[in-house]
Amino acid sequence: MEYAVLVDPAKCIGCRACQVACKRWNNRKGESTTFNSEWTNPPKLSFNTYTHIKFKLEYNQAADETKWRFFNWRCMHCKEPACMHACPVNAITKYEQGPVVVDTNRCIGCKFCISACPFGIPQFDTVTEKVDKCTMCYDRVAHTNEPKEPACVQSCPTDALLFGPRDTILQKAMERKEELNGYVYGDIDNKPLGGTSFIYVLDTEPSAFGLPVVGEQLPTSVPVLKYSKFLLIPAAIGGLLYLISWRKRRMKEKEE
Amino acid sequence: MDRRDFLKLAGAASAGSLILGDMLKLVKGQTKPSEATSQKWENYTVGERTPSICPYCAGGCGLMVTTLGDQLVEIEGDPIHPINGGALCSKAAAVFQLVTSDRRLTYPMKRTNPNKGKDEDPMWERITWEEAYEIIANKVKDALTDFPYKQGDDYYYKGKDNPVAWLGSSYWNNEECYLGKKLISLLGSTNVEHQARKCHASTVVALANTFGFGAMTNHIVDAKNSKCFLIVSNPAESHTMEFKWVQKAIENGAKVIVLDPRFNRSGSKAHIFARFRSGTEAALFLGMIRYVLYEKPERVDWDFLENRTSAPYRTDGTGPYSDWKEEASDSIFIKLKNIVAPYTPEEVERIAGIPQAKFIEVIDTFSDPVNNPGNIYYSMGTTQHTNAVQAIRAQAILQLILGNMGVPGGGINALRGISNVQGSTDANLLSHLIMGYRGPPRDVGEIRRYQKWKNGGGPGTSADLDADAKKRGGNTSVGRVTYPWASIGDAETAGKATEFRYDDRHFPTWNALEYHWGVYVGTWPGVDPDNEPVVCDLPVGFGNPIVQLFRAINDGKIKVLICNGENPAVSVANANLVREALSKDSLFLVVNELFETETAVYADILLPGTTQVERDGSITNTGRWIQWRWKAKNPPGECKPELTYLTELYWKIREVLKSVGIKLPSEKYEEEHAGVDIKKTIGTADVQNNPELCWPSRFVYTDGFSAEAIYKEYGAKSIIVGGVELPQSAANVLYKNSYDPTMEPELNGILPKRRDPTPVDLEDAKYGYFKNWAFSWMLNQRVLYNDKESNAGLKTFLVWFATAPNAWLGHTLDKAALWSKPLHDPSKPATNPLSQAMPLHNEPLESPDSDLATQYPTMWDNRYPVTVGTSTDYPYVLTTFRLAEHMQAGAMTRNLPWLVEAHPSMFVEMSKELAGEIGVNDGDDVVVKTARKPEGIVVKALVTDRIQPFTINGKTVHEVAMPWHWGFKGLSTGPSANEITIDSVDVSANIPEVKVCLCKVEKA
Repeated sequence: MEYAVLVDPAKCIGCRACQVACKRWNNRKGESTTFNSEWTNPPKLSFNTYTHIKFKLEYNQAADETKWRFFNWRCMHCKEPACMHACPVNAITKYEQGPVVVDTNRCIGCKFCISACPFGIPQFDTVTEKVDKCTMCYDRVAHTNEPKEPACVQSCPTDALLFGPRDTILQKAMERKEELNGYVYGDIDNKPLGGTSFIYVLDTEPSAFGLPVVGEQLPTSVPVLKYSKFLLIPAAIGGLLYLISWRKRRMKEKEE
Repeated sequence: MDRRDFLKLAGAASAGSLILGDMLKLVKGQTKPSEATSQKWENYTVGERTPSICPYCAGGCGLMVTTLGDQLVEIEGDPIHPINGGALCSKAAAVFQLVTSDRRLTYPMKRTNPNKGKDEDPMWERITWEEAYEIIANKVKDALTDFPYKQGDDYYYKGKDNPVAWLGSSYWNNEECYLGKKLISLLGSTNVEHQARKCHASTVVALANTFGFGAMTNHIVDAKNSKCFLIVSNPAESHTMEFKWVQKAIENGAKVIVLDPRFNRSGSKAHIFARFRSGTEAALFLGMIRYVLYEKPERVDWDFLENRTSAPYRTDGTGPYSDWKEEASDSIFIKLKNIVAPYTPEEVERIAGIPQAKFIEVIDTFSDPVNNPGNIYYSMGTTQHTNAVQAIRAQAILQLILGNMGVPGGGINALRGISNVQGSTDANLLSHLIMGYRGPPRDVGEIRRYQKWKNGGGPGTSADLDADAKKRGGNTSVGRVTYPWASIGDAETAGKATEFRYDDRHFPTWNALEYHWGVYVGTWPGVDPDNEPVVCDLPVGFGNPIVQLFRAINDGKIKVLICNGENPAVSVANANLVREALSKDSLFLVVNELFETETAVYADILLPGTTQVERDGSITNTGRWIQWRWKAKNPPGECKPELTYLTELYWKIREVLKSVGIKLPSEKYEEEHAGVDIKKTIGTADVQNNPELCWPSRFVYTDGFSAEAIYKEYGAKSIIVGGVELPQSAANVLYKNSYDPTMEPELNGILPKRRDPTPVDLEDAKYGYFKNWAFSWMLNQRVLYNDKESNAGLKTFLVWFATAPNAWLGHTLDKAALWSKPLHDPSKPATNPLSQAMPLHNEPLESPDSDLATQYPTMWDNRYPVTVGTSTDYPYVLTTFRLAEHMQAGAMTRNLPWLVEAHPSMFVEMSKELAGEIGVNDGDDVVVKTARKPEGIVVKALVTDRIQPFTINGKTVHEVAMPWHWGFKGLSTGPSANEITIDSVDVSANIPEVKVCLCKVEKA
């Protein structure tokens, strides 16, 4: 069954429980950050930060009205993930339940996924020379029996993150859309890359939250990236041959 | 070819094979897998689950700990917990990192650098626990060697003069707090304090004197029943899980009003947000009362006022008067009406800087019957002021007028700060209380009266004097002198109603302590209590509250301070003075902590404590739920569970003291009076002759040494001793009946262990009381003073402070006190609320406006002078606040990378206007100076629209705000806000005024 997460920033209080719970379940390191006046910290997603809360303060001087928006940000887990289609080594998997996951063991650090992703999600780590990103806690979610909600969703005190079967979540999104007189981003009003597993319901235009305009279809440039790898075949074969000969030489050396 | 090249080639080769596989897939088509796993998931599914309670704020959220042996696998929200249902805040989500941190202390250490100071390396040397106990016990012995056990002919220790002091801790379980209090009391000291003094001391005074109990009236989940919230706190950040239920209420149509000097994360969800100047809460709420009484009298709950409050009575206790709403009646209600009259919207705006229209919108919304019941949330923003007791009283009175008390969704809800601060307060780790919120004996006169009570007669007695005397360990000989008053009426006739009421509350508690602590309190031999020598093992007289305690250290009066799970070098107002005290050669400092804190840097002995998932015990959350924590794993290294530490420490101290003849006063009396054996029995159990039997608990020898055994002593329903039921068997009356051996035998009768979220009845189901879950004091009542709550024990107001000769409010004690006799001092000037026994506005000690300071003079405890600045030198108001990602003094969060990354450094928030005036840009370093530290502290400037200038008394006043979590130790360091805050304290509660002072800000 396909699952989805409803992200409802109007209910978010910016406590960052999701940010920490994610690090806990996925064993991610805390980063060395510096003072950030806006409070978004770590300021960007990274190999060690799969998700974070973006803070955005708006002030209307004339009315003396303040609005503070908190916005959970991480991989959208698209139906047709550009990253997956760009990956030359099939290190990225889309699970039936929704998660799009990078297998870091297979990743060769080519960064094709980074250029393919319209949301700027996959992050390259200079230490391991691998790419990683939010997994939608696939080890909790991708089970045919009783999936467990992602760690971020479990920790959210105000149900600003809600996990459930995709149909139920879409239903909920419609209801909230009505209540907020707003927008659904990820499905219904806007289906980036065929629709996403994280679906936002917003009280104002998606651009206010920095959400990009992304088409429903996979851009043709993405498979081009993927298949550009075939250019590597000669190099790969060459490498293989070299390896074989190198091994032979080593064996010979050992024998000697 | 080196290894790296090999790997690269291997990568290319495997890529090659992948590509080939991919080409195959192109032919076959893609399939989506549906099963995944990970090492974490595997461990999680097979691991053992143990429930615990979060160690951070007082919300009482459930944790579920998963372990494989001693390997910690996961700490998540307890999925069935009624409060958090699996959710957590950022701090609670990081408990895993707290437990596994490699920064934790793991063995005892002693200081080898004799110099103490912020920048002095203690040069720690590893020692054993036995060595540590030996050193501490000998230091205690040295300190007590010349401490007199005898005053004239009477044998007792003067608690305040005792050179041994104790701090902490609200992070400890109830059993540990209780044992800590027992330990320091048995050393004859009332110099015992902890975090509660700094957070809600004013709450206890204000609410107890208005309703009966000084606690949050409703509970966390109860927010869901509210129609309107008036929030003068910041629960989204400081008590995040409370906001889960606020959010639920919002979804059900509730309105949220947030009042705060600065816009905060709670404000982000408010329907109405309004700013006010720090320190003007009393004016705001008095203005609200005025608005309702004068502008919207139809919204007053007249029936409630008439039936459940003192409104229809006069201040002399007479009444009720049927014409109480008329001027001529001279009723308390009329007095209130007159008191609030000056606080018009214009005046509130002038004082607090809140625009009149906004102010009216706030109270008009809150008082609107469609928005009833309404709920007030407050915390440090209201409590940490010199006039805090008055501000809280004003909030309480507003709720009484609107009939919002004693109903689900209503109440006045003090959100307490630390996980077990309600429990540690209940354990009376405070200098003016001994146990059960009763004071220690204040003088020998009280002890003499107590002996008469023990001998028979008086409050709570049967007709049988001998039986009473036997129960209480009194003297049963024919010639004994017994308690002089048989009833309250009797005492009134003698003009002694005050004493009678006092005795009624204190004597059973002292008696319970005699039994549970193995001490003697009374005269000897008890026949002639007026003339015999007093022999009292409980310390006599109140000790030094927190701010004065450090002054006493500075004066060389305190020689040993044992500081547990508390970090005063960061958390106490005017921390410079604290750090100076901690540096004194004359002080020997013992610190028990998880991490090397700012206070630990000054320690002589540093001991490793354990985290809360590493031990058993109960804790009491802000909503008075007493819940149980089960031990999930062993602590690392030589970290010692706190109960073991307390017990071993006590035994060693007792052994060393005894070896040089330092003993309990009763033992000294025996020593000096040959043949005398103060062998008293209570029931038939020999207690005083063998105090060792009572440590750590009377239950030890039947149940073994455990938190459970101590809990039984603390919360027993009843104990039959020698065939006689003790008059009060629980050591702490509030927890009475929470141990009931006739109930829940599989839980050994410990009701806080209950984990059943199913409701007891329809009412429970409707309101979410969760009466089968854990236990709530008192008597499992979930909403205090709710006379409609089923299956509950305590439903009425309980203002038992009978200090008027005529027994205040007749003999019924079930009225809430609009006018509070205990807060009445007619000798004070009319501008002092104590002269009125009703709240008034008073300016903070450092007021930005001299007109207001004259008109509303500060009421503070000027016996303890502080350094005060003027608004000329220090023109801006400074307040402090908390962040969701950090905890109090910071040790438990500034050592965790997951939390440090979110808020890595100390800062000060200021308005764009102020930044413009002083030429500061966002992110600049600025110096914030106050009179306490004219050289100031350097922090980052956060220039934001969250703060706006105020117009106060017609003039522009700027306010700045800084978090107070930082200090000079940990992964993230920075100056402490309390280096510059003011240490003035209020007269009723001794709470420091850290929430408001004056400052100057300059570009660094």
